[in-house]
Amino acid sequence: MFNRIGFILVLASLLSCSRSTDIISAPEKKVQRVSIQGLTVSGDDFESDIRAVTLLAYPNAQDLKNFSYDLAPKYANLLGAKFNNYRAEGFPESFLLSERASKQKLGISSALTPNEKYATIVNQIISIGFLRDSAFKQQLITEEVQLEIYSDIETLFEDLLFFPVIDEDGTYKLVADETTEEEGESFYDCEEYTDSVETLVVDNSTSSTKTSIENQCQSFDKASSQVEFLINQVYGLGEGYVLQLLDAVQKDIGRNFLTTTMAIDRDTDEYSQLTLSEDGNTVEELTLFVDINDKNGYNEYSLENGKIKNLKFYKGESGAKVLEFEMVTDLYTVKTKLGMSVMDYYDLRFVGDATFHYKDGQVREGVMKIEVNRASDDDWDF
Amino acid sequence: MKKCIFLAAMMTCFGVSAGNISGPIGLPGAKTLPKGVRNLSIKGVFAQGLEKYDGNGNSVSLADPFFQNLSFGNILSGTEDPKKQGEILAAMNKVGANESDSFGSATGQVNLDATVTVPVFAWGLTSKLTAAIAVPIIKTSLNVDTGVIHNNSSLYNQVVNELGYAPEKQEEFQDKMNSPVSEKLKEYGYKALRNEDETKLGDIKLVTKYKTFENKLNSVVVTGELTLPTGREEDLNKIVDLPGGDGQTDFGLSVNYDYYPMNWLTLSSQVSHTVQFADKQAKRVPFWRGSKLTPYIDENVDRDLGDLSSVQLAAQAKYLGFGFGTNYALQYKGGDKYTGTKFEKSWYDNIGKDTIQRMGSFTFSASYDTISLFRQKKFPVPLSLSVSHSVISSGKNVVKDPITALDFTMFF
Repeated sequence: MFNRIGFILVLASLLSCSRSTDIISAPEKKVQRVSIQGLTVSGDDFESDIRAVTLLAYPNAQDLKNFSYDLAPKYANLLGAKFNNYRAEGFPESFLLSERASKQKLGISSALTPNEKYATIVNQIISIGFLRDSAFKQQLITEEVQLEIYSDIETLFEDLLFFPVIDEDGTYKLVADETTEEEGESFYDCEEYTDSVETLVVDNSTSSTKTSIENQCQSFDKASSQVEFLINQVYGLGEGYVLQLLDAVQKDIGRNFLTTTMAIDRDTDEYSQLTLSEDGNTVEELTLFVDINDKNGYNEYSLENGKIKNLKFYKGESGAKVLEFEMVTDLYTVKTKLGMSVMDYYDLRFVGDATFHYKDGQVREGVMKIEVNRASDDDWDF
Repeated sequence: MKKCIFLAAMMTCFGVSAGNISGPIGLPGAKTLPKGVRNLSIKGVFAQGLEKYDGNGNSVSLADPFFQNLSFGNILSGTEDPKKQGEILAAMNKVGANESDSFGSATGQVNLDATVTVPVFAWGLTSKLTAAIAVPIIKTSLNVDTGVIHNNSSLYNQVVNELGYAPEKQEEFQDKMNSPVSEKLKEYGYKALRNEDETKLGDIKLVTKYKTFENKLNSVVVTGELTLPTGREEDLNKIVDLPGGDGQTDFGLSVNYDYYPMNWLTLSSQVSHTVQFADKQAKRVPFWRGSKLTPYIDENVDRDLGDLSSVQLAAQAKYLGFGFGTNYALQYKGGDKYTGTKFEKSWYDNIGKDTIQRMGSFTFSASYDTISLFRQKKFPVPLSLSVSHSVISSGKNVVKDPITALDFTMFF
């Protein structure tokens, strides 16, 4: 009996032998990772005044359950806004955002599910943020181009005299003769020129000058129009859409969602400030004057008065600097984690996620952005 | 990525678990033990998992669920947070990408070796009634690896560039693109994938066989099987897991018929049906049909696993203790049904996706026993040794790889 059992146990051990399976590797081919360079900036590189603060909470699916928003006609083509790219040959027309974005409709349809409305609002707000950034950048580029054109115009007009034709108001010639006054007039820019000159009479020797003047002035006007378009029709309209959209949600459910401010009246001391130390490793001051839409107007939130607290400024895992802090208001406490970046045209920015803890216990996710102008054109080190 | 529940099918050999179907081990037969006779047998089952039949009956790699196109469309569908969906849509607007634009694909590789040892003790209580208990011990060796293939570097770099205003998001994007499966597992609270060798108890089976009819040419046996939920249940936090059992009780009934046209030839048939009783279980509930990865857990999901049915036809020839046999089995398992109230109804349907199983298999066996020699007092011990090899000829949602089994039995 025991021999039989022993025999079974031996065989059982043989039968229960197993082997470890082969070590394997899955197929792999990766794009080379882009390393995020940690910036070394000095506090001296940037102004202390904050150019803009944006604090925005997204309404969530529950908030949007019964919400819909009809689009006003003026916003219909906002995402499809185009510009002339002055840095490309021939100044081609391009979308500020993309062709894909141009096909999207703003507004919130009642046919969407609450989660879809949430995703749509986040998409629209961020996309308009990108659009405004793009418009801001192109505005600055266009203004640079305007400056160049203006400089060329100044040079052109510098050497020119315009001789009024006698008894013909508004008519001028570039060369004095028996039909013109002896003394010529100078114009400094296109505006002066167009205000005075209705007709410029030219001959073969001066027609090219007239063409140059007209071309330069047209280019300048076109650039001016683009700047105006970008500021009012894109940048301003984009902000208007987001404000009105979130205002509509706020009225629907009675919760504040948006705070945004530019640096205000510099004649007073009440302007938002962010001061970096000279070595760029410490935030020495953070003061925000913002109106959180609680009907109390602008209020100060600072390290000094304790309404900004738990501030940390450190190098994150990515190598980029991270600014974390809490801001305590009468409506909510917002906790933020903002990544620092320095980019052409945008200068110094802190952008990242924000979590809003409302006094009634509700929590909303959102974003925060702090923007600071560069103090000089000096290069910074990486 | 789909959880590899089909891997559990490898474990549904005798007495392991009745959750899923797999290739048969051995041949069916309408035999019981004589009164007072006992046997102790050890069954060893060896299997390797490399390929399976998918829902359309096509042969695919076991790691097929890991292969996921990293298109914006799939990334969106696989994101459950509406805020993150909004961020992805905005990124698509920024770079001008459509849902079909893709960064590449996630890849994977899964290798599995499994050995199941099943000690079975059977006792002939009467000349017609035999009772048995089977206690499966499962040893598994699992190697798993995931990877990614990027085939659109310009889109990748464009997105990285556009995220320059938020360096943390640049880093997050690159982390997710470089290890899409690992990052998703981390985000959803799963344990990290790792190679594992494990030994565990399976579902214990209690069997009674009753011979309802027997004469010189025929024999009919009715078998009742009760599968107890003794095996380790699946770990919710493992995307690739090989549980010992499915955590619920099953009852199976089968009828075996043997025909003995000649004293060396046996023709066998078996019809069986196993009911998997409904129960409640904690489950992860996928929000997207395209992947079983999900952060959502419902502790009280009503589960009704599909019942199992099979038909087998076999023939075995025996002479002087040597036996050779062959068997064809057709097996079917109904789809699993899951319902609950914590999340949307359609999400629960996603759990039961691809759980209808079908399998056609051939089994070839060879055996030798010393029973006749023992009777003639020419051998001290009555024992038998058999080896069988099952080949899966067709299937749906079942492992394709063959199974080899050894069966050693001693009578006393």
